[in-house]
Amino acid sequence: MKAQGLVVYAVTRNHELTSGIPVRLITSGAIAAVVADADLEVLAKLDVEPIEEGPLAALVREHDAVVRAVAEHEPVLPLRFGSVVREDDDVVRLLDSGRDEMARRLDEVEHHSEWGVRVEHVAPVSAAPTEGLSGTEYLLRRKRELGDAERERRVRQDAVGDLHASLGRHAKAVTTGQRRPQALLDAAYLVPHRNRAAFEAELARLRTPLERLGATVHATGPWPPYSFARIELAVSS
Amino acid sequence: MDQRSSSLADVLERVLDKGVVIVGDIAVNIVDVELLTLRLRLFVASAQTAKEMGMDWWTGDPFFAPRAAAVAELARSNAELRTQIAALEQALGVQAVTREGLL
Repeated sequence: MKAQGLVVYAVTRNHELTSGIPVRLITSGAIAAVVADADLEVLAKLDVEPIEEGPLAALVREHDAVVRAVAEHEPVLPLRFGSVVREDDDVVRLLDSGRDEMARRLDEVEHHSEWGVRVEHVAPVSAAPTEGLSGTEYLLRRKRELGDAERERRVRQDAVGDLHASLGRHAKAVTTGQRRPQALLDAAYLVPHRNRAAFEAELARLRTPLERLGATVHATGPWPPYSFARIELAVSS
Repeated sequence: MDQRSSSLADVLERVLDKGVVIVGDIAVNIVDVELLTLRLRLFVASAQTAKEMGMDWWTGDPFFAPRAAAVAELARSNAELRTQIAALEQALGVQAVTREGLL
């Protein structure tokens, strides 16, 4: 017999799904989980490399597509990719365990989208030749180069601070992380739909000076509120 | 704002680390699902995406690699010398044959 399981994509409100995606709802009171039946063996045997056009990439994109499709009509709390349970009853228990918190969080993210902004700077390599320099000359030049770099770093830091503060004014909530060593900013903004135009205009206005300072600004969005759905559901069967 | 479809790295970053998490034994305990997540993490960190993800930061940092430009120059002059040596060897070879011919 095939080992069947349920992939859980998201938690949303208990309303009928209007999109044509091949998923179903398991409900508990006012909230519902968006699930799809899955053959666990297929999931378990996916030992291909996660390359751009491979099966894993397809699954990851499918997860995002399902969450987005639901988010078009209802507020949504995405589950982490790869959330799998055994049967419908497990999903009900899951919903029951955090019903109030999830209902509250759904209210918070309703009519909001997430935007990601990452600012990075890679210091350029000194291009000046070192031939013919004495040790002292070389060290003096290194000192000067490092001093210049430090001044430029402070200017960039100020510009990043401006950007973050200004974007934050258009957002309901902000999270920041810094998992990459050269990231000057790695933030997610929960932006009300009505502020979208203002947020984008602010981003377009403030990214230019940063790019002129040699930084790269990587902006993505709109996303479903992935970064604003950090809830742990602990359930034992 | 960039409205093209998101890059795989961008999507991975969102769907792997974030969102509602199920803990406890209700989550299907398939090691391979964990492995799958692990693989995806490795993919994010792989050399292919390392640059985009900013994990090769040390290569361009002037403090850690102040001589990166000098190293490139060294490689260039090495190649140039090799070409010159090859040309000289060839010239010498011709000369040797010529000398043999003279003997």
